[in-house]
Amino acid sequence: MLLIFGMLLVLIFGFLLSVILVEEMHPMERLGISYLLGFGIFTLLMFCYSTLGIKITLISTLTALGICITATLAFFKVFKRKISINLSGFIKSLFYLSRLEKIIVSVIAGLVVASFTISIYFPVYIWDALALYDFRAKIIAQIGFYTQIANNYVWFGGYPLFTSLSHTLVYIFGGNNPQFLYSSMYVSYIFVFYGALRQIVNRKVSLISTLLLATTPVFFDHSTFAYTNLPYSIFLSMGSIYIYVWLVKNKPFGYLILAAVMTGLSTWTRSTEPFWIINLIVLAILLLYKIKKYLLPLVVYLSTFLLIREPWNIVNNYILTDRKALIASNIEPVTSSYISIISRIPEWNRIVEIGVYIYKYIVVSWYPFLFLFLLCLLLSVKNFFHRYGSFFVLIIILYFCLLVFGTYLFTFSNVSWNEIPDSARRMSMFFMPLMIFYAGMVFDTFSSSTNFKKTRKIK
Amino acid sequence: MERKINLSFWFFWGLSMLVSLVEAVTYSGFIIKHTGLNPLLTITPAIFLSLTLLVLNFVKKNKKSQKNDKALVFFSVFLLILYIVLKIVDRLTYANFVFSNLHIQPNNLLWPVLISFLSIVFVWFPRINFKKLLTSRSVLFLFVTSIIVFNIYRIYKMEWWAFQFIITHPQASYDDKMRRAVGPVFYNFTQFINTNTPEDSSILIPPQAFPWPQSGNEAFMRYFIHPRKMGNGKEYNPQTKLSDYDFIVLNWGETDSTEPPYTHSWPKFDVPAEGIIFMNADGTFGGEIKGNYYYKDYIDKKVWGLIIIKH
Repeated sequence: MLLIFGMLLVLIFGFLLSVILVEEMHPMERLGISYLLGFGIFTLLMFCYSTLGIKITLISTLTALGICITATLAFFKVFKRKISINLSGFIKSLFYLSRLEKIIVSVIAGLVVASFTISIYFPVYIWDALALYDFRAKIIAQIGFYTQIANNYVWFGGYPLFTSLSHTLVYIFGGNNPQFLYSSMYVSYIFVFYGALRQIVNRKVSLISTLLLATTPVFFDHSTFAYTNLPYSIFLSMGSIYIYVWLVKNKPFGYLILAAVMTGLSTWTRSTEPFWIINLIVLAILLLYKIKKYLLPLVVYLSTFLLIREPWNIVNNYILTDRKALIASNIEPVTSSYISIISRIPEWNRIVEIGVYIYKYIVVSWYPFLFLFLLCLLLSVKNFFHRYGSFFVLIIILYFCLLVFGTYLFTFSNVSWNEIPDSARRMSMFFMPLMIFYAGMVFDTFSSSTNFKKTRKIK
Repeated sequence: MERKINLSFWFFWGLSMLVSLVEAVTYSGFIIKHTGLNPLLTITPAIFLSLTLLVLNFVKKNKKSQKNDKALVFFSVFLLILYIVLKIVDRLTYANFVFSNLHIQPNNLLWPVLISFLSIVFVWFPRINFKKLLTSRSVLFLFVTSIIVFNIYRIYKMEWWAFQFIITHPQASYDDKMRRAVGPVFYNFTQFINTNTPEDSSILIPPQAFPWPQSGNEAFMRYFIHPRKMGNGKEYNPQTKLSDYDFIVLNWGETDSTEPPYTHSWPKFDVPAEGIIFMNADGTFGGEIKGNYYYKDYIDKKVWGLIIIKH
């Protein structure tokens, strides 16, 4: 009972936060984003206050949740927000689904039940979770701190604490198996993906695309065990999707801030991959296009993003004592080595080797979504430069370029760069939902909706 | 003429359906054994006649659906679902589970399924508007549907091990689940270590390589035996002062495969010891002997245990 109560409090906090950011939202999307925001932001706050010396206990956690909920309610007055949940309207709409739509919803529901069955039945068992994420969670739940004790353990740092602190929350509230969190993330992702796509395309197309996402084998598989790749993919992909929705649907600033929060939370889940930079590049491109219009959004996005990213960076790089001297002594040689790599003539043998590696272990894992994406590109080639969906293709291409370039740089600093292809495959999971999102927009051009058909320039 | 072909088709279709359903609830070869009739003699005319009707129906102008056409589809889909469900049940439990409980051979249901779909071919195929089908929308829709179906199949293949275990062990304990997830040898060994060593002890473990991918991985091991301290030894020497440790694991290895140059059995060096505690395969106490550990006495012996270091 205490566990359910605790999870509900986190969900309520996330819900209130989402209403402050975006007042109007599809109920399903609201539910999904409440879960993601709630756990994302609250675990970050836990990390911050425990670093400052407040022990993580049941009492302190309940107090912190109480303060967070009260503070967000206070912000309601400032931003003049109202909570309006049209639950009856939503339930009524379920009865008006067509036969195909009901089948789709049933299949998704079946997958969700299957995911929860596996994740609840089996305890935490996957390698990295036992070696790091869940081990850290248990230690933090026992001792109440992370920063103060991290140097006492081998392989305790390195990865941010989103997954570990989420597990800690479960243990503090009396649970003994936190794996259901990942099934919950899977469900939340289905909801937010549907809600975001629904703003652009019709219901049938949104449901078909969401079904495509839900049946993606790697996403379903990751919903049954405790790895960081699922939450990372969710946060990163939704960051780009929300930036895109903000841009093309002229949404209020709250969407942009939500995009920044999502991307920031991706770095709170995994910090080694630099994919967070793509959204900044997108905003920088828009800035070059119209400096007056996009300067403030860039500043707001960057500030929000850094607010989420920097606490972990500061602690990990400067406060954990052993690393301080190490990082300080390495900054200059690392920077100069990158400059020398970029400035010299490319090594073609290395590039071919990287190309083969990326194709064999990463691109192949995207089939058949890659085929679908390419087919959709082909079908929309006629008015490619006049469709605002093409801007989304640019985002995907930028991610791919960074994947290749990043791997190229990585090969210089790590001789065993190609020894864990499974890790590379998991790291690039987020490409698939982006391809599915684009495919959904292309489907819509063949349905009765005219949203995507309009040749509309970015103003 | 067409009416006669139609009637002949339904006769052979009915007969082949009856024959295949009988063999599905008995066994393959039942019909020929008791009647002398080869089932293929019923199916072959049905196939030939259906192809003839297919050609005739393509030419026909009036292609309205009849009431029994929908019943045919319903029946075919029902048989197909039954076949899939029974195959999955057999896979999730054990081979012959369905036959031993329901006296139905799932594999033999495939023939009735194929025969029932045969009838759909000549009834529904001519009604397909190929002009309408070959639009971008339809191609896209078919492609997406096939991806979804294929993905669901891949999910089933990936996760069937989990569902199989859940269905056959609904009341499994935490220990049973962990044995299934991380391997019984390794898990039993960690519980054995927990039972036979104090929490503040230090334990020397093998190098991190096959055949000790789990028990040689300090970060992985600590989840199971925390707060005990650990350190890795090398294959042929401890790499460190033995006096820093209280125990050394006696470890054959948890995998059959090895990673050259490593081979099974560790430690491959002698240890001055108070004694050795052995573990049975199921993780229980397997006896104890006093005295030093000499590697030559344990070459190629599949043993697990704990060596109590002499201080």
